[in-house]
Amino acid sequence: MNLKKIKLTNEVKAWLAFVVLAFVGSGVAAIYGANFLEVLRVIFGVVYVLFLPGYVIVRCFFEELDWIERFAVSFGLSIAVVVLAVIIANLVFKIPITPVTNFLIILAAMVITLLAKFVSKNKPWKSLKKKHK
Amino acid sequence: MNWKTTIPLVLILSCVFLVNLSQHIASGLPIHVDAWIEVSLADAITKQRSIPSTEPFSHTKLNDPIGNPVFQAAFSELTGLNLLHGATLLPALLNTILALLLYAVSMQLFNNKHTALAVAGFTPLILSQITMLGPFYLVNLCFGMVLVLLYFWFILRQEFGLAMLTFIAIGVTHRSTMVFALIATVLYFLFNKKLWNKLLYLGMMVVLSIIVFGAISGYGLLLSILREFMMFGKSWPYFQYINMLGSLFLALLALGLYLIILNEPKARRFLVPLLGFMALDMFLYWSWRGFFLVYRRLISFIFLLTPFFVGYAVAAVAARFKRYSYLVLVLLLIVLMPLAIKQNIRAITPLQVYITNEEHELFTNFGKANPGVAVLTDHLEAYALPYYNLTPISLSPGHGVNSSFYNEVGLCYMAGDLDCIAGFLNRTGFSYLYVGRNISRAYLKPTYTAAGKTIYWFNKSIYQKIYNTE
Repeated sequence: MNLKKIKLTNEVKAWLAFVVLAFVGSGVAAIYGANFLEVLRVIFGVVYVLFLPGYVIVRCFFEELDWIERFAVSFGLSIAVVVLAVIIANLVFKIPITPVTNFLIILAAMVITLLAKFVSKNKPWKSLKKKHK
Repeated sequence: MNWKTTIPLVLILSCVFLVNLSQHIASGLPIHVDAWIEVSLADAITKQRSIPSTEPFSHTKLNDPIGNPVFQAAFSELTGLNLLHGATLLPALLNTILALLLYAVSMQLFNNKHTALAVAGFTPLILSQITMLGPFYLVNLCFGMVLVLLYFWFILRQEFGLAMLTFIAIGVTHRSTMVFALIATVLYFLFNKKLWNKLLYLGMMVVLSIIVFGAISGYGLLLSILREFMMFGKSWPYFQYINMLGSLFLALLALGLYLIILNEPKARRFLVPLLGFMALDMFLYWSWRGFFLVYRRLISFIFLLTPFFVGYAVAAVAARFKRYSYLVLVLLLIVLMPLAIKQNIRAITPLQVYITNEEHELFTNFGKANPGVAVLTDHLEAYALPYYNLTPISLSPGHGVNSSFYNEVGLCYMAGDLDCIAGFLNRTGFSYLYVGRNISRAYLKPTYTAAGKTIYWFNKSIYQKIYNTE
């Protein structure tokens, strides 16, 4: 694989910068007596709960937005998605609310979004219709 | 990436975040009883590992929306921060998200980055007054404000599917926000002829809000609100919007309103009728007439609309300077944003600290040593006790709790009448008492002291000997 051929978009660069900054920030906090892994968990936890679920929806269905609007909507939408996903999982499917299940519930919400995007992009029902005709 | 917008916006967001955080970080504890209620509910969720059907205070039916505590519980579990640290960090994060969403909604309304920047800059004008709460406190309204802006963004883009999803999230998070969102939608549909073919969607919203409202609070509450709406029952005014906003921002709001009516067709159809409705609401409020529950909570949303008008006015003034418009806008923001922050900080004082750091230490240690024990405290402090594994006795009746001993002992406690309190303890069989000061009575024995604060144990036999009662 030729690594030179891999294109780094601004978005990928931003994510890489975030990961590097998260590690550097945790390292600096560790120098001042904090637990490195705990700080890292806080940073990634905040992003995972407060940003990522909404970001996946926005990235899938609102491609034309500029980065500020994308960020704004991602944050707001994450709150809505986390609240609804956890409530539905617990009240409807009786899934207990624990750190692991919360992680998986949010992950499932993101996977469902990606599947919805895949389905809406490929529109398999159209090909089925054609075959039927 | 447009650095001309990005750099000032990042500075605005940092400012909003740090100002809010600085207010919370001093104590590191929730500073209002409503925030303590949400923390206690979130704590109950994490302990039970499920959404409880009863509240943890008097163990009667839970009538509060659960969105906020569910989010707090998930946030706490995934970040590893305890709920109290979360309660310090989350208001600042939510306020910053509010600023970002004000920017995003402004882009949809005005399609101008400078105006959107100015609107985001006036986020501090979303004032937090103690009885009306607001984004300074970690309460349901704070989540509601974030979600309703997101909802507006979807409505303005006519993304009705995601708007409906957000509306349901609003419904399970904050009732008054749901009513506000519904009113905003009805007015937008009414003044926007192009949307009249989407009336089915509006009908679905009405049905959905009735279902969600009834499922959370019961239909009795809905009927009582409707009855109060018809009857115009009296309610006491809690704040004066004009005094709180200040004459400078009021003048800018009026200018913004005038300019939006003249120049912005999309915003004119959306913001102006909504502001008109809120103004009518405030007029009824000032004349002490209006439906109580939703009504006085609804008025907080006039603060959410304020930045749009003030920001538009400031951006329009800056635009008059043509070549230097950007520079003038930045200068105006540098001058006016601190004034807006000052208005906000003035509005949130005096802070209502219900649990001090010393009391936190006392209750933490006592709760660990005596889990589940009932302690008689102040009727507002009592809402923090479930977090410390303690059982509250006298609870404020104004916070959705159905039964407590407030009527029997609340007034004795507030008057500091120890004999009256002792009489209550003698009658009911409760043993532990915390009054926040050192007391000396033969029948009250200091049983646990931490950080200079003491919990007393009531000696029933000595009391009965002294007063010759059984």
